[in-house]
Amino acid sequence: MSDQQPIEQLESRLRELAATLPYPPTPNLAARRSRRSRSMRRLRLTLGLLAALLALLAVPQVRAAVARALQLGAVSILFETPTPAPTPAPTPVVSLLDLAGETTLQQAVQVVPYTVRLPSYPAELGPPDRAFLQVFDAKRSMLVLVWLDPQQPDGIGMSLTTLDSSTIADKRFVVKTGSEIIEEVRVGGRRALWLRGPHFLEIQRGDGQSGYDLRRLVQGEVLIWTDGALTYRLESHLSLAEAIRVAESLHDYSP
Amino acid sequence: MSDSDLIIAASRGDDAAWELLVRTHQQLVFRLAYLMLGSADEAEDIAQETFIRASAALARFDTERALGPWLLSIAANLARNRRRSIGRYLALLRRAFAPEPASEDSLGARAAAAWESQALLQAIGRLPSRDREVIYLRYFLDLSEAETAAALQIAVGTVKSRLSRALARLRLIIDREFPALREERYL
Repeated sequence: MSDQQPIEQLESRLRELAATLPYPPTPNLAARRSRRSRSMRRLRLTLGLLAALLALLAVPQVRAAVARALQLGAVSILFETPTPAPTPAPTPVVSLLDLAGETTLQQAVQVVPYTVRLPSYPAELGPPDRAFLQVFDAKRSMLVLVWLDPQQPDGIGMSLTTLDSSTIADKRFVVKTGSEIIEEVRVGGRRALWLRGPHFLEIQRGDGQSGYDLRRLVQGEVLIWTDGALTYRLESHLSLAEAIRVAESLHDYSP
Repeated sequence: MSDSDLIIAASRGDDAAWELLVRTHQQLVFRLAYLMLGSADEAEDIAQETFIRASAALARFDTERALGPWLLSIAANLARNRRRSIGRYLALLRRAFAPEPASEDSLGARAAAAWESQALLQAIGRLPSRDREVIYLRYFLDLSEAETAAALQIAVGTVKSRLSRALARLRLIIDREFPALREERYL
């Protein structure tokens, strides 16, 4: 494979893409010299939608029908029987680093009603590089800690999501997947789940509504386990054995 | 009338002159915001805010400068702030609900081309934001190096070096994460 293709080809492909990109029609902004209230109306509408169920949803690149279910902490696993789809569904992809609610570990620790735990393995890991806390309402939040990959700018080495499952009011996180990517394992003697391969991470709507609030393609491997009321989700490119070591190394963090 | 005549007229309260300026520049401003945020609704908000701010600052604008890059620099700043804001999460939620734009033709070669475009856009999306912005301005909005420099408020030499680094990184991302794209005839 000739890895070093001329930059000129990339440039011309970019120009070609730019010329054919289907932009939405440009709204007519002339004659509006004052603010309108549309943003505020939409904000209220969206806040209404935030009465949402948090869900982790993994689907293969096929449409599927739900077959049976499995529960782990705040996460529900819905096994699906894949059926071929004519075309892959559109896949809005949101990088973890684009998550809103960026904060610092120190600030997050003050806000969440539980003791934040951090891995002490690998020894050189150190504290997370980025922290995101999304507070959905007074009782529901999701903490995402990200360790960047020192080898690549903006690349993510590992992320640890902590969900307080006791505070997810009526529903739980949902994983829908073909059973081939999921494996039952143990973390600290307790049941855990290991998801291999690309899948979608979704925050799903609650209140019996269909649809999802956020969708992101997960490229790495995911380990899900529980500890008391908390459900943890570790996303990385580690092997299963390494991921379990990381999971079992969690210890209370004190600033 | 030139932009600078229109600016002078608009800053004296001539609404017709202002409208003409907005009509001239609204497409580029809206498209930059759309590229940076990926949502037509958000892009419209940002574009509108851009013109509101520009209108308020018009009397102080140096008419020797080009208006377009100045507007784009305002829009880029607003879009960057939006990306970082807590409201961004709400916007993402909203976008996830929005119906996908209808594809014109999902069959055959067009579908393949659409897939390539989508994958290339995703690859660009993996770049650091500074790299993305220079690519959007230079290739998508077809600005000159000087205009790109003015919009990003950096030197022309910096545009060149940033662009060259951005393309090198983009090629790495394609090699590493979008190998199917690399195998296409284009890259």
